[in-house]
Amino acid sequence: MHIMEGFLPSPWWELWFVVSLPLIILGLHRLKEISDMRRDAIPLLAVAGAFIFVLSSLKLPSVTGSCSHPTGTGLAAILFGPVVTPVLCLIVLLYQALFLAHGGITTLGANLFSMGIAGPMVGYSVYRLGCRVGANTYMTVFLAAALADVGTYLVTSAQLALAFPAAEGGVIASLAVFGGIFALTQVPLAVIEGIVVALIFKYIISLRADILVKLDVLTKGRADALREAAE
Amino acid sequence: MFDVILEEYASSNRFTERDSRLKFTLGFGALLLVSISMSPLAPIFVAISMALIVILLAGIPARVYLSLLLLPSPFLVLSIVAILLITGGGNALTAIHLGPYTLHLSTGAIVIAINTAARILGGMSALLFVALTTPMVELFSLLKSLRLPQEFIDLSMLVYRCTFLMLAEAIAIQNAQTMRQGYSNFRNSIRSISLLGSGLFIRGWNRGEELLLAMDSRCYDGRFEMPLKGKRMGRVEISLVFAYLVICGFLALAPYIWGSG
Repeated sequence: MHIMEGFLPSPWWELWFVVSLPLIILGLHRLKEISDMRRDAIPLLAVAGAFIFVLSSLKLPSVTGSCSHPTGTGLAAILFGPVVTPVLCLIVLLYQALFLAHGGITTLGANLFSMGIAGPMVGYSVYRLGCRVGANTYMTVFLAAALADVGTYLVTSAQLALAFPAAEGGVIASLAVFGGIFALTQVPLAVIEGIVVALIFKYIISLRADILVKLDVLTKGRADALREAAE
Repeated sequence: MFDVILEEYASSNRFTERDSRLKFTLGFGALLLVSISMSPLAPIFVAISMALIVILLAGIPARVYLSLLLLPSPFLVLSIVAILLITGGGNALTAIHLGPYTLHLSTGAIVIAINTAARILGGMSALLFVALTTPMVELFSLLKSLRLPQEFIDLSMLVYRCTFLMLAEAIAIQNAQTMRQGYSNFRNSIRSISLLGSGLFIRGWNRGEELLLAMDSRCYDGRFEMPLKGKRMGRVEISLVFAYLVICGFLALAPYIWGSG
């Protein structure tokens, strides 16, 4: 969910840049490490970035009738981890702002924090947790993608609530109003994106499970087992 | 999928050949001034002047410009209503009781809502100026002059290139699916879109591997240099941009200086 250009007043949009900055620096540092270590990293990450961009511009079928777009952040976090994903999201958000007038430049910091940092962290943690306790892989992917979306939407609501606190009840009351309004569209969207990402995961496993093994998303044994189960 | 891709206009308007540093200064400068402005004065000035610049001087069709400006209106309307109801200050006009909270509509809230709406309009206009007049390739020279790491710039350029390849593929797949009733009902749509997503990912990955092979055979060493050079800037152009920003700055800061508004 993008906060549009100009929506956040000073000093809130500056604040979100400051908050996101350390994680971007960390991500850039990691990017340099990866590209020094493995020459093939940059082209493949570029494919990943383009994939997030295209995925997030697909129109999802929506139950409420309105069109919704997936964020793709859950899938990105599962595939590339929470350190590199913010860098990919930064590029994607920049392009969305300049290609499609989606989101904005002053709100880039806030959007980056909700979609590139908070959402992916939730998604990645859920995925790793699910793998550790040995839950069903597809269920885990569904939960990771859906909760990454819910996390993003809650953070966005909080960002709006902080910038526009209620006269009575302050930030909490404001959060309830913004959260309530956006829940109508964002919760169904999260469930649909969860289903779609789980299915994407399933198709990738049945066709090119080696990619997932290479990215360290699945162990070799787990991938083989899932592949056999699918056949 | 995409109703409008701005890049098409960005690379074929009357400003395409102008120096990108000037365009970025004008667009992002106005954007910055709009977002620190406390009154709706500067944002409204930017909104009107940018619309005239983009439509009359750059030659972007007015229909395209307006539809882009109205794109985020559902989000805008919902949020402005929320701001009207929850924020406060000034004199209360009316009150609505909602569960444990009382929502006031007050003069203070109206001021905040007007400021926000004006800021969005001005901000979107400045953003659209950059998006519609500056080809994306020029962004890379900006990133470079900001001294961002080379890996990041390489990655951005490759993402840019891959995006268009993938978009073409996504559109082709989606057309094929639509012709085969892939989006005829909700269940089919979910299945189709997942197949589309995974197909794109796998094809994209293959392409990435092929790209690497192609680059390797041309002595790719992990760096990828591109000659980026600016165009000559005219004195008139520079002074016009400067004058515009001074006016914006004056309008944005006037309420601070005189302590009103």
